[in-house]
Amino acid sequence: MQEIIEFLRALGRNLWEQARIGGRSISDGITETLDYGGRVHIHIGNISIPISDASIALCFTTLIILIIALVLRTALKLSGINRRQTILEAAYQGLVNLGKSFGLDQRQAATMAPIIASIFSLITVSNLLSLAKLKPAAQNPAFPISLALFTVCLCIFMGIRFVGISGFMRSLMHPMPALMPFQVLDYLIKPISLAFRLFGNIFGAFILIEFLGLVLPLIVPTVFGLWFDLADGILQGLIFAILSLNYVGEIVEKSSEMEELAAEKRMAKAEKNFAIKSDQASS
Amino acid sequence: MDRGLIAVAAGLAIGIAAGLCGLGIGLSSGRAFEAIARQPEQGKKIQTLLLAGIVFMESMAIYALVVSLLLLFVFK
Repeated sequence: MQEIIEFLRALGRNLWEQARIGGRSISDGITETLDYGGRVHIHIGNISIPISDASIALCFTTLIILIIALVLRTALKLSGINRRQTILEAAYQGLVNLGKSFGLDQRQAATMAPIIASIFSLITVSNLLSLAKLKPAAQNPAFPISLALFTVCLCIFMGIRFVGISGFMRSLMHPMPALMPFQVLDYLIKPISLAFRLFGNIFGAFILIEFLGLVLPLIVPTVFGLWFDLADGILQGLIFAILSLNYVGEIVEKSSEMEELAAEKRMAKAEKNFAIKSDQASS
Repeated sequence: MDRGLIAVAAGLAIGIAAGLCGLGIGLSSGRAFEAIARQPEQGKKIQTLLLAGIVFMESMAIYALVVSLLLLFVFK
């Protein structure tokens, strides 16, 4: 209870400081952002665990997503559907078609669709918290890094589930077996790229808006916030989700290509043997 | 470490990255405009591909921005 009151007080102080004209220095604002937590502590026994701002922001995020999902979930019917349901069905179908364009088939795309949609909504709603002048979770580098690691492991796991471990090994040898180290390196780079794309965009946008806040505290940041917070936030969530779908589709596509290549070689060898045998039989 | 050298490194990192990123985005946008002019009915598809490409190029500059911020705010 004490922590909640502390948190609300800090929130009020934060919001009041945003609206003051002048009197704020840039380095103060930025170093305050780099101070990632410790406002609220959980005490278990004699251990005190600091709770970072990103965790609190993620609690808000999941609450908002839950409420939206429950509201959209009611009033789903099988026939005589209204416009809201049509939009939802079109979005779902668009997601499945996107999966198909990345190389999955209908069943695999339908399996991946809820996963990709949840990743997308988590990141997007978390980024849109900055419209309410709250700190989005992606400003703490822990959230993008952990999410990216989890997403790449998820993609590899789903890939193995779709084509088996032998299929995954085959996809690693995609153009030629000698190029396998480069594919493995690619898998090591993927989490870093995903994480720092998200973190860099959101944190950089925040710093930019801080700089613009020196000009005229509420008006100019809000106007620029329409691009940076809104469009950039949605775009980054979209890119993250689409890229993870692409990674799964890559595994399936490369594995099937290598399988076709191996099958072609086997056919060519069998034809050669058959030709030799028929030569021997006729001569 | 020397604050002056850190400042020069931070400025150089983001400067070079932003310049080359601008070059890449400009070139790819130019090709996209040409393609749309040649085949206006494929406009939507080309626009989607262009935006996807621009986001990836932008993220390269963002990596350099992260390095620059790291230099400025982590080293005393």
